[in-house]
Amino acid sequence: MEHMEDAGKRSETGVKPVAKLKGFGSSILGLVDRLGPWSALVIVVLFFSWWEFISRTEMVSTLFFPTPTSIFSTLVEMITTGKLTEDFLATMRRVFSGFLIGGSVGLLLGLSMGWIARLRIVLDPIVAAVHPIPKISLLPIILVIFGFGEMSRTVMVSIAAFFPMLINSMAGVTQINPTYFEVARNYGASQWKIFRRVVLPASLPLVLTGARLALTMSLTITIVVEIRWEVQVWEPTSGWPGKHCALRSCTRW
Amino acid sequence: MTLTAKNLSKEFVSKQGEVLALENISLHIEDHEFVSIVGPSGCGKTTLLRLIAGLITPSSGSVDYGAQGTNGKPYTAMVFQEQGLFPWLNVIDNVAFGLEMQSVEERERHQRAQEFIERVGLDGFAYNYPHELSGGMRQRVALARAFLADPQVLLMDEPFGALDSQTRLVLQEELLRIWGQEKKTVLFITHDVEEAVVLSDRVLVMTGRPGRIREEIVIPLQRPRDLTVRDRPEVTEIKWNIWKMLESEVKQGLNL
Repeated sequence: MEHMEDAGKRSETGVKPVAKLKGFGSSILGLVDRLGPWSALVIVVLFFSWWEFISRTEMVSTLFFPTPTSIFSTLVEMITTGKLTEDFLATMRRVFSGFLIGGSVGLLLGLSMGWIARLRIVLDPIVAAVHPIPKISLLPIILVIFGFGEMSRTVMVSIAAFFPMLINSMAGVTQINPTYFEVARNYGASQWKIFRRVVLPASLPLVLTGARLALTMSLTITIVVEIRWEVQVWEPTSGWPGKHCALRSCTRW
Repeated sequence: MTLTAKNLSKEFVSKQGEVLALENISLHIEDHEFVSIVGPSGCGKTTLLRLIAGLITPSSGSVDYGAQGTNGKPYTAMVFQEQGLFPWLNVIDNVAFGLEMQSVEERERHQRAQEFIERVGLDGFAYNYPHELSGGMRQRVALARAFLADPQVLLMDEPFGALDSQTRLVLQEELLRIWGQEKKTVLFITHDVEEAVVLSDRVLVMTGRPGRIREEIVIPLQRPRDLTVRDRPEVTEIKWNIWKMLESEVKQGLNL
């Protein structure tokens, strides 16, 4: 509180508060004016102090809300033992293998569908019908087909990455100004040269957008399938897994 | 190289039924002749050019370029009104695009493109991108690209139509100058009657839809020309003659 009174004094001499508030209000405004973006840090520090306080005094259960200091020391422990790195790499491996498999198939099919009208006419209704299905609802059938293992995870992440990539690369090609194709054909470009010099560069912005969305989806689905396995595994066993162990153990599967 | 079109017709199929865009068009352009086509908007001028360029196929009739071997060079090169340059290529790669399609090796095509860039007055802009240039500069790049591809026939689809009137004058003069150095067979489409008269050896006047060639006017002006010919009394007279042919068609198009 000393802090704020001090700031209030300063605001009278220095920066003027926008609104004419007295007492506490003007102190807050004065503080924000002085600290600028650092004010956010104050809020974060206050929030964690409050959390630490209510956990230590057992106002909330430490089972659900362990103190920030104990969370931090566990984090340090996980880093020093290499556990976190291992889990992180396992997750990233899943994200990127799914992204690369699903994304590259989506890219190739999307570009082809954008370029070849007949292919688009045939496949677009199917894509439009399948795309809105929440991908996670496919998990049971994928598990039945590919079993409880890494294969099912990779397939799930690939499916998730496939659609944003497909739809954006297709749009990337269909939105190309037809004049560009005419210019290229007019100068005698072969189909391959049209692809390399017109289709690829002109669709690149939307292809990159598709890649960004596909990567986000890959990460989301990876986290989801990791947690799902956890539930599958822990439900039949009795008792709670210890603190912190939920996310760690699931990434080992 | 000569260009001959015989009895060209083009029908488009739309939801309302078949629309006859062009009806029975025949024309012949001599080697190194500069021919313009004027006509009311919507008369199918651009369709005719696209037929001749081979970008669409005619419903009936044929186009003959009158040449045997072309050594990989295109029959036609087209200059579009706008949007004709590739925004992802810089000026020199845009200009060299035709050569690249003819599989000319990179160093040689850049060298020849650089030469043409200088000839259209764009030295220093070789590595700029189209969006960094003004409309007039972009059309000069498009001209350089078309001339450098060295086609048998140069097709121009209202190349200066989107430019302001002052820039247009400068570009017309530039086209006259380059064409004087690199004699090419040119088919030029415009809605600007004066532009057609000043640039051309012959002007073909088209009717409204379905497009037909209504009249052929030989322009009796000497070459080389510059833009001062536009003040000559005979040019004014020809302009008025063409306008009289077009007036009723244009008014019909406007429902007057």
